[in-house]
Amino acid sequence: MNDAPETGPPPRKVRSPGWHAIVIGASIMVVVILAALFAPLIAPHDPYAQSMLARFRPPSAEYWLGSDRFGRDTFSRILYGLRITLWTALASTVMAMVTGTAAGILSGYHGGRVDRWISAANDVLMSFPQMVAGIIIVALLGPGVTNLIIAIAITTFPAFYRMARSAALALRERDYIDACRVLGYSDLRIVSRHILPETMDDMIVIATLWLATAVRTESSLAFIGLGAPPPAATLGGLVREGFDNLLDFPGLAIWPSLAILVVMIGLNLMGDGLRDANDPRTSA
Amino acid sequence: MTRTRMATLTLSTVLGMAMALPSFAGGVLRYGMAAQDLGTMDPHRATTTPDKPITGWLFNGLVRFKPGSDDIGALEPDLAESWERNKDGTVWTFRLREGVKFHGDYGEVTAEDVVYSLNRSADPETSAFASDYRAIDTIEAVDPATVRITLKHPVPSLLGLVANYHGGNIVSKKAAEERGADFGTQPIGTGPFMIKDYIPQERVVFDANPDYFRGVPKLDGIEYRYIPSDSSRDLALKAGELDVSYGRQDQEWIDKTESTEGLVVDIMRPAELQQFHLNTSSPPLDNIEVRRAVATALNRGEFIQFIGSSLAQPAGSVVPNGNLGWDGSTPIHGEGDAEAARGMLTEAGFPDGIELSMVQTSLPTMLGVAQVAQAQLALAGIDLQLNVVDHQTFHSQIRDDRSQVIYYSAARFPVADVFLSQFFHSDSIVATPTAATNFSHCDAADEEIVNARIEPDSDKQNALWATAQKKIIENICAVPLYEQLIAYGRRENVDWGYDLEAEMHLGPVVTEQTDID
Repeated sequence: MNDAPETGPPPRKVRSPGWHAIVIGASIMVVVILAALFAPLIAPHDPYAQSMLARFRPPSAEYWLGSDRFGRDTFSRILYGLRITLWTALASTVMAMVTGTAAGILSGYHGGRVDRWISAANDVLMSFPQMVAGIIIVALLGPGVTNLIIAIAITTFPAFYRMARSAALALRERDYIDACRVLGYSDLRIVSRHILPETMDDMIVIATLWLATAVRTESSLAFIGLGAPPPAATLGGLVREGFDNLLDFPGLAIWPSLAILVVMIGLNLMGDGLRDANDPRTSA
Repeated sequence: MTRTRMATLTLSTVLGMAMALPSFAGGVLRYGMAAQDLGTMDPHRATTTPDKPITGWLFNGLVRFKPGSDDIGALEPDLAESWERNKDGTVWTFRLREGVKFHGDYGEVTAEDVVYSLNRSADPETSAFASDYRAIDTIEAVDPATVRITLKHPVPSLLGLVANYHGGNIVSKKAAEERGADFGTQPIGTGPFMIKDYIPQERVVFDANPDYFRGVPKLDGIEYRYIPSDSSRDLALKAGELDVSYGRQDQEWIDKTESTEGLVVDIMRPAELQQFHLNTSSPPLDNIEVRRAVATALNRGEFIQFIGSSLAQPAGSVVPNGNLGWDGSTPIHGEGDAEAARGMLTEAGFPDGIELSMVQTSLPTMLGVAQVAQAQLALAGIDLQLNVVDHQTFHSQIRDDRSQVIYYSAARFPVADVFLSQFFHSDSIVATPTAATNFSHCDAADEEIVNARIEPDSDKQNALWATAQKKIIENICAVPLYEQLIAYGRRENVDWGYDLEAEMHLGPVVTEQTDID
């Protein structure tokens, strides 16, 4: 992960080492996002419609990736699963980014007791492995998409908090911030006009990286039964359902697993590329 | 090439021997169960499917169902060697078999133990089956080998109450008093196998009881393993790590297992009646027209298709088919007519549909059935919200009255009174002091249920039971979906030692005759 920039905004590069990764990653994600957005138009079947006469169909022209034990079309369910999974990941990451950045800047810029308290709380949160924290929070709040988003956001919060805090800590000692203070600018103005914009590049890079983690956390929680309740289709939930019939109809677990893999590759390539492009040490 | 072949041959021989070894080494039957953990081994409290088979080899009753049979007309002596009754059937005297020993150092079975056990079963503080024993007035030890039971009035089947089933199981008085609540994990009975070890969330281990009164068991012991995932249990059975395994209760599993070499499927009664109980005290289900809409939207035929015809059979009443007093003459909703259901909801004042909440177990077969229902109800504008929890939590939450729709699968002692009393009499309403399993808060047929209990004339008794079923069905306290037999997978070399057609413990019971060839 990136450290706080040392002096001023990073120099803009026409081409950076992450360029190819970004293009490939972004292309994958564009396809995935379009598939999710237009799922109702693309999906050949209603993902929730059951048919007792069409249970466990093998892949065919009618059921591209076969059907599950309720006679529901696997391909359609994966498309709709992408929607919930991506939405969960995006919403939780944005929530973590907004709250983490705000708390981090407050902590770093203000310092003192506020900083100590928030940092201590953050340390407690960080002492739990992400999955464990996720399981505890979902177990407390109960399953459901909203609670899942909150749980993932809370577990991702420390990443943004730490980054924003260290950036704010470094920036507040800088001469131009001192100059702002001398000119009598309010703290709000200094933070919103001079500190926040300086940290945003980093935050977006981290967000892209953590988006992939959020997808993974969502899938893992859904897999152990703490995801969106039935009949919602989520990628992790589909893998879990597929496991009930893994030996006879492995496709039911394999196809959604592949979908998770593709999303992870897309997001990771994009995140890594953005990080490299943004990192002064690897920039040419 | 030859060398490679030799190596392969040697390797496979060694591997083959290594894999074959365990079955030579010990006659321990490895029994796989679809549960996260043990609930209890206390026979007077064990109500769940995964807990019941265990009580079958730990305990005995005064009489017993023949192994592999559910015929109440063919009960045979167990701890009692003979019995007699007075003319009107209100005083029963049992003569105990001599020299039967409890497990460990708990001594011989005496009339005191029997009196203690039956009183314990009749006490709601210590038993889940107390209501079955209401008709008993006194239980006395006439002498150390004689027990006399006096009834307030004749009952349909007194022998059923002292059989090796539920409250009829005899426990050691000394052990139960000594161990209190720990009796559930440290049970002492008289059965062919006794508790050796319990490792939470993993297994319960049983040793053969060398003093068993029917003879020393052929097996050395039983390992009862908790493996909640169907696929994991299947793999273990196939790989030879399990000898017996609770099956996935559907047609695909049966077909696949039967076609696997070395494996056979046991399908047994009793058929468990699968019902949706509708909480008649919880709005909007307190409105009978709303309940009618729910029942109409459910498609009973589809559930049989979903489970498959080897296991599922149509349900004809709110008590299981084959029960003494069963009556299938009242028509049941469950047409799967979404259009009509919508109309009913509109007329009942819910033109935009309704939302119902349902606490549901994560056991795959039951969750599957709930999801089929969810999709059927959705077509009629009924949003069935599933709150999926693990099986133990499910059992405790539905007993806390926390679900509007309750999917319950059950078989009970095969006399209509038991099922009607536990599920539909107002004394049994959940979250009350006398609670049993009346999830629907049904009180439509209290009078008939009570009167049938004491009716000496069997025709009149049957008529009362029939009326009770009619009233409950017409009041839509529950929607019977279908009845389901029980499927277990077994390795061919396991010989139960009896014909397994039915098992009141909802799973094959290991007896002293059971063996692994």
